[in-house]
Amino acid sequence: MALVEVRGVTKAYYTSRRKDQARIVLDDISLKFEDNEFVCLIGPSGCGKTTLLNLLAGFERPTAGEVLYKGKKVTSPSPERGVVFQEYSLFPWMSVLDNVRFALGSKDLPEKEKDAIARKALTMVNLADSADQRPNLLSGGMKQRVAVARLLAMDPDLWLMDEPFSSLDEQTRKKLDSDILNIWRVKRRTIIFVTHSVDEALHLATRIILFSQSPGQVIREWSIPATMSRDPTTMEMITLRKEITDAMPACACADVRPIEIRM
Amino acid sequence: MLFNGDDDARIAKHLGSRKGQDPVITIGSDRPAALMRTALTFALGLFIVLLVWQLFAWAYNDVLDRAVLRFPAPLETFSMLWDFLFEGRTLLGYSIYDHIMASLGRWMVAFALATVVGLGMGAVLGYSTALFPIGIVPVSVFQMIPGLAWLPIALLLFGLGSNAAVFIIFAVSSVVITIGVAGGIRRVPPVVVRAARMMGADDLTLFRKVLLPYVTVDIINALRVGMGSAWRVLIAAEMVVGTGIGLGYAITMTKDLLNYVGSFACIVIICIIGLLLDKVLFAEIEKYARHRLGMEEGY
Ligand SMILES: Nc1ncnc2c1ncn2[C@@H]1O[C@H](COP(=O)(O)OP(=O)(O)OP(=O)(O)O)[C@@H](O)[C@H]1O
Ligand SMILES: [Mg+2]
Repeated sequence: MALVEVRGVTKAYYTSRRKDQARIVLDDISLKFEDNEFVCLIGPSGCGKTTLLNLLAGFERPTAGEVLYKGKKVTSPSPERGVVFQEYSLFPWMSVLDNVRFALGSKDLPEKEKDAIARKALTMVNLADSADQRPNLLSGGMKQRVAVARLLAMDPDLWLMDEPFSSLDEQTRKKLDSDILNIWRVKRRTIIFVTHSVDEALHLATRIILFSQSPGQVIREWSIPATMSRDPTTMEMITLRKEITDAMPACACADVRPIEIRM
Repeated sequence: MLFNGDDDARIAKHLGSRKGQDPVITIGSDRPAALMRTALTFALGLFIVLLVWQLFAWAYNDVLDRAVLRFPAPLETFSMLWDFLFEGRTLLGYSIYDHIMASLGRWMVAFALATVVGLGMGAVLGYSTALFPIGIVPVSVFQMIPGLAWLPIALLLFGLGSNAAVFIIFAVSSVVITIGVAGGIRRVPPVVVRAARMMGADDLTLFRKVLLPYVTVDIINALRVGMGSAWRVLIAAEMVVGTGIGLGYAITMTKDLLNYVGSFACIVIICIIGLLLDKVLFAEIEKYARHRLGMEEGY
């Protein structure tokens, strides 16, 4: 049985407050996510990637179809399915440490142990020194790392990550990507990762799913063995990259950059 | 404010003292100067009030010369105030402190009740998307009733006297607080609630640990506005329901006895207490809360 199964899911929203029109955002999507996969979702802005994650997390219900998690219908959020949000989602009145500890709130653990777990999670994202600071004194990249530490402490089976690093500079993003990859290798969890960047997807994913323009549908999928070299200069990677960019819907808003050919 | 030229000017003066390539420049404390500026600004504002008052009194008394009754000037008023406060002069058989305490007592009872009711109703209305559209209707209706228009209801319920005044203050400020609190809760961004839910927070945890801190500043602001409304309507209520003691009652009675200077002295006291409550007490509470909640901008 797949860890997550999306069965014929359609999601539509009213287009205005008059409620006399609805627009379909996700159009009859069916997908399966297996244990220990690292899936990257790519697609143009507005094609419904965040909407799909919201359905997987249980923040919203499908208009039609169903989302199954471990065979059971998803009806509400649960700490089994952790989310790193596209936007800033820390609690500004709590210290960094308390933000991470909050993720352990529903677990039945002694306070001392919670503290230790939270500190360990912060160490893993290189933020042990900022434990007592307030989040609003941190840089953007540090804030997203706290959000990642939250999930590390929570240790969910499924990680839903919505463009977690897209607002960061290239170097920081690459560093955090490698960190996530390491965490995934160590923890053997399932990660569904939304990104605009083909390069990022090629670096991380064991499977890449390409969405069409709105209304979102799956255009194509690629599987990449975890063992395959991710060196972007290998012939295989260059070919794959071209294949994906060629398959991307031609759209002004899609983040398609020309291939850099490095010798 | 878009630009803070003063800050830049102040820092620019110290740019020369930069040590080598060190990006941090020592500037020294601005506190005494800043306090001085605040005090001066405040004094200037106060001076304008007194000046306009003095000019008006002078024009009324000496230029118009309709002098059936004198318009109290600042000096007479403050001299009477001095007598009330420090020379033990009584007003309507009570010391001024008795009047102040009577008013503050009513205000506190009514405001405490309004806080409890307003926080409760505001929390329920803000939290429940189903109840809000229904509940906001009566609240909005009540909001439209001007303070003193509660008078008939107050008299029917409590008759003449102190309780009627307390009721009016309660009615006005509880509505203000309800609206402020409900609005604050409704403005909490969904991502905050979702993050908490995703981390397994139940209803109680969500409310106590996330929603409440998030709306603390809104709640304080709601209380602050409610406090102001309560204080203003308190005086008005005391003027009409015959409380026998209190600053509002003192104003009507001195007016009826043609002791206009006495009325003015009471008005000055009312302004001072109101300003102290708002600008000192609540402003400090809000500043402290913002700091505790990590919601101040920058430092
Ligand atoms: N709650 C909502 N109500 C109405 N429309 C919505 C809602 N949520 C999303 N939409 C619409 O659904 C579409 C898809 O939004 P979504 O946020 O899923 O896009 P996305 O693929 O994540 O885009 P991006 O890459 O820019 O984040 C958009 O057109 C958006 O306006
Ligand atoms: Mg999105």
